[in-house]
Amino acid sequence: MTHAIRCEFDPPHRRAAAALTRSLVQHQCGLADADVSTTEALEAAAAEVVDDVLGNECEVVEISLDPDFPGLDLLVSTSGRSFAITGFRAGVVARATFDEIVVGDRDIRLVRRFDDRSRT
Amino acid sequence: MTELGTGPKPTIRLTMPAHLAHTSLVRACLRDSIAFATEEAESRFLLAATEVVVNAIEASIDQCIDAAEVVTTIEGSPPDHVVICDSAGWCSPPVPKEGHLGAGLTIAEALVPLELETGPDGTVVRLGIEPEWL
Repeated sequence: MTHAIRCEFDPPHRRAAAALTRSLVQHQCGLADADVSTTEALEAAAAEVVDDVLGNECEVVEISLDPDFPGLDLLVSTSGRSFAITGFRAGVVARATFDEIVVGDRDIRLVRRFDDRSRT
Repeated sequence: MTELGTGPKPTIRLTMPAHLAHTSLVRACLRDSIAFATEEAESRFLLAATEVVVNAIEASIDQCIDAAEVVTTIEGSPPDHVVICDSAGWCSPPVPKEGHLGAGLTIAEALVPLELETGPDGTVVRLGIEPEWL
């Protein structure tokens, strides 16, 4: 990801990472002219998914996003082992909010493309 | 620039393209990561940090540096310093015109303890956080 915004944590961190995930999503939504309801939905969903996949097994090493993407392209890298979205609510919220969810061994990528209905 | 993980202090590091649109993200990052004891302490520190970040971004833009980035590092737990680095060479601030241009560093120095390192590879500004502000 070129020209990415990156937030790194050393040592890996969970609590600050959750707050910063929200701030990064909010910032990107502002850059992309997302409307208020889309911004709030994405903030809440990203926080819910990140909280769920992290569980107690791992912490966040890095959050990055592509500010030039016409929407939200957020990558959360973790210190832990393989994980998946396990919570029912988080799964429902994620599928309803993001166009693409890619769960890797040590990261999760959340993508939402904005269309006219998402913008102010 | 301190390499991540090589120092003894816990760090949170935000790296972003040198673009003025991202200034607010630094403020959000600092607000999320540092628990100031009072609103006055938070306002003081955020204003100083914003002035330094804007200087770093503008220097990178003025010098037309390709893919320029500004790096903001929060050091310590509880935090004791915020370090803001850019890859632009140092330029003396312009003489203030109409009381606003070139005053960023002066404002920041008046608000927080500040150390400045300059060189051909970039500028590093260390902003101190007094223990009583937390």
